[in-house]
Amino acid sequence: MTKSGYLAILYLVLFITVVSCTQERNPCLEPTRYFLKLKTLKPADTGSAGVDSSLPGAIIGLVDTNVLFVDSVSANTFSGTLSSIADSVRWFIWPEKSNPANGDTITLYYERKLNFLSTACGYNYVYALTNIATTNNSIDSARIETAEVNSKTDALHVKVFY
Amino acid sequence: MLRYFISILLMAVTLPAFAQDDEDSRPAVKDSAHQIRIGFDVSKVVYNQLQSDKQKRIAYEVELDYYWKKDVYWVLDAGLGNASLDYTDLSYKSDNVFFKAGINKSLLPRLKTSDWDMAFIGLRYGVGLINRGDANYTITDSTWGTSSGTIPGSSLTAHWMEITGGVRVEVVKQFFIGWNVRGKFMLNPKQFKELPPYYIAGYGKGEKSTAFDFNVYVSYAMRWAKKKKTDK
Repeated sequence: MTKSGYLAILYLVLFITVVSCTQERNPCLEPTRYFLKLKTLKPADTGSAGVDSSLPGAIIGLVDTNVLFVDSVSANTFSGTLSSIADSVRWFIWPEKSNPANGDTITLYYERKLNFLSTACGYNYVYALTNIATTNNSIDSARIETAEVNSKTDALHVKVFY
Repeated sequence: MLRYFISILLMAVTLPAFAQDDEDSRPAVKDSAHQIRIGFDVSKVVYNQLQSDKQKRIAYEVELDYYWKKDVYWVLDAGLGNASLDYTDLSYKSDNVFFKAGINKSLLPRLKTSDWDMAFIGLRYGVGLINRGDANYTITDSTWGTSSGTIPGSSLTAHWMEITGGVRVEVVKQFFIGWNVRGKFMLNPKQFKELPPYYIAGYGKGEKSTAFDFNVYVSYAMRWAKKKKTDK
């Protein structure tokens, strides 16, 4: 290769240098909020596993706010958020809109842990569930299935038995 | 990115081979002189001027090589730099010095004793000594509002390996111009999982376990004749 060839490649590298250093911050392409997944069940005739049981028209949200996770939805799996500023949160769960007297509240206790995502996304929180308390208008019991609430979207965290 | 690096490196390796057919018949040039060459990476100076206030990365790099024998050069690189991120959700600063040691092997046989042009491949081991300052973060949640805090600063050490390729052309007697492309592989990436420096001078982005880089060097060479061996 001739010297002019080397210099041509040199100019190319300089060009790439100038172009590449005009980049802005990388966009944050990953979720920064993690959701707790809850499933409703009926006790099985034997064992403790339970049988999936859909709520006919569930309304689920945060107590003392106007935040609803679902509104009149027939399903047996629901997702909602935990607080980024407190170590517990209280949800209300109405099996159906027409009968709020059958509604319950479920209080979730957890530990928050600061979690570094990336320089593009900054920090968020991951959670470790420590305890659950419920009222018992319709709910029989609840238990923690997976304590860690983090980026794993396939995890089931809480089972609620009716 | 690694794929592009390997492509460029292969190009640098294969291009000189086309020119070697005629050169194979030439007699090998005797190593009759020592050469030490010091180079300054001018691309970083340009690069430093183009940073935004929100995310800044400043670096200065020099390279020293010594011709050993049979187209092999010992190489030392050194430099320093600093970086900062200044966003509402995350802001922090860091600075570091780095050192690298390794070899370059020229792929162009010398045509005569005064021919010091080279196209080469090389290997480096690098170490970076890093100070990361306190980091301020803010987490914004549409339901719960914002929470913020400070992560205390820390001292970190990065170790990495590099493969590199490039050219040096003597444009004026003893003055060279040339470039390097570099592929880098962090040896201790686990240490940088928790709030890595935004940028490590000599390496690249601290949160990446592999990095790609290039340099444009202006170099000055000093030469002196080797002592001839005398028969006793």
